[in-house]
Amino acid sequence: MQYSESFPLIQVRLHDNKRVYRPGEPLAGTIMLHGMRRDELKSVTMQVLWFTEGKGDRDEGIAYSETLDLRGGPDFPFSVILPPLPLTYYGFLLKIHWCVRVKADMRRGRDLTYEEGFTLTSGQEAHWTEHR
Amino acid sequence: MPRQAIPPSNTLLPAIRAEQGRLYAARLKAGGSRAAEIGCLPILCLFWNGIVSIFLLNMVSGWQRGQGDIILTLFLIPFVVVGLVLLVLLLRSILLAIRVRETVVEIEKTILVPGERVRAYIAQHGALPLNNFLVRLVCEEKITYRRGTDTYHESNTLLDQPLIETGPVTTTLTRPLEQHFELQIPADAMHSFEASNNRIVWRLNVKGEVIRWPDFNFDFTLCVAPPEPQRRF
Repeated sequence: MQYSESFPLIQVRLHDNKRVYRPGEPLAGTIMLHGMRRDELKSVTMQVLWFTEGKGDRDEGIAYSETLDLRGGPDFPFSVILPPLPLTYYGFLLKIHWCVRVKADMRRGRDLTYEEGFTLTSGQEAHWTEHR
Repeated sequence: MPRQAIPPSNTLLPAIRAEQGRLYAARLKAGGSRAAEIGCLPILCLFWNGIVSIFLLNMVSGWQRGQGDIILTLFLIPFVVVGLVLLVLLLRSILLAIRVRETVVEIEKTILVPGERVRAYIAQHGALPLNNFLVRLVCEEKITYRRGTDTYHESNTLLDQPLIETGPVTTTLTRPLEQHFELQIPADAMHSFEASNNRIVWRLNVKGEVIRWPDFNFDFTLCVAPPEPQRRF
């Protein structure tokens, strides 16, 4: 596998640059690792998760988790069917976000984490879930 | 081949306390505040006033002997006030338990979907002269946060929609207050959400203003699931 020799970088590209998904729809994309040699990496984990943001303490739920097979790459395609809930929500006291989180556990130095956000909506709850 | 995410997070929806209904599928049970009141208040009242009464007797006997302790007397005032408040609350919950029976709420479905209309029934049994009987559909954000060792709770009302408001009405033992109504969660509403520190709560709130008697207030939690996804945005 050929990794770039520049500074380490994780990228997540969602197919067709799509940002809005419906429950039950596949979330497809590609994870790209730049500037990392395979022997520098202990493991790379990809998670699809929701988390809350706001005045309350944070809650988080992992809908999908996978440790990438580093023999492939440096690009790793993925496709995950999204669960029915919770939908993305932008409220007054709390917000619910969805993201793809990629965490590279390095043998030396600081671990790298990258999050790519997306919206999970049924397409009906426009008033209370629009970005504020 | 897309991988399946972990199956529906049903734990993120509230568990509904319900039993088989007579007219509709489910008879909802009110939130646990009444049972807790009846169970905990007498114990708390007895415990608090029992301890305070020891000091109170000591203080009174001191004043009777002409050796009153002004510091102890002033110190005891707030504790006596709390004891009296507990007694009033206990009396109120006993009066409510004697006369006011829990409101009957039945609905067609236990899991509601935004935009969908469901039939519901409400009944208030018992002989009650009511100044008003109000049923509201309420949606709230509720959060919990910690600062150091303290825990704080906050809520924000997103929707407070009156469904039934009777005005003055009198119910008798043979003629309860009964109403059939339609319940509709707004089509663009957010579903129920129940995490450890963040919640979106849907509930039916029933409030009765009883003439010359303590008012009653019952909450019936509803479960609102996300709507079926639309085919196109």
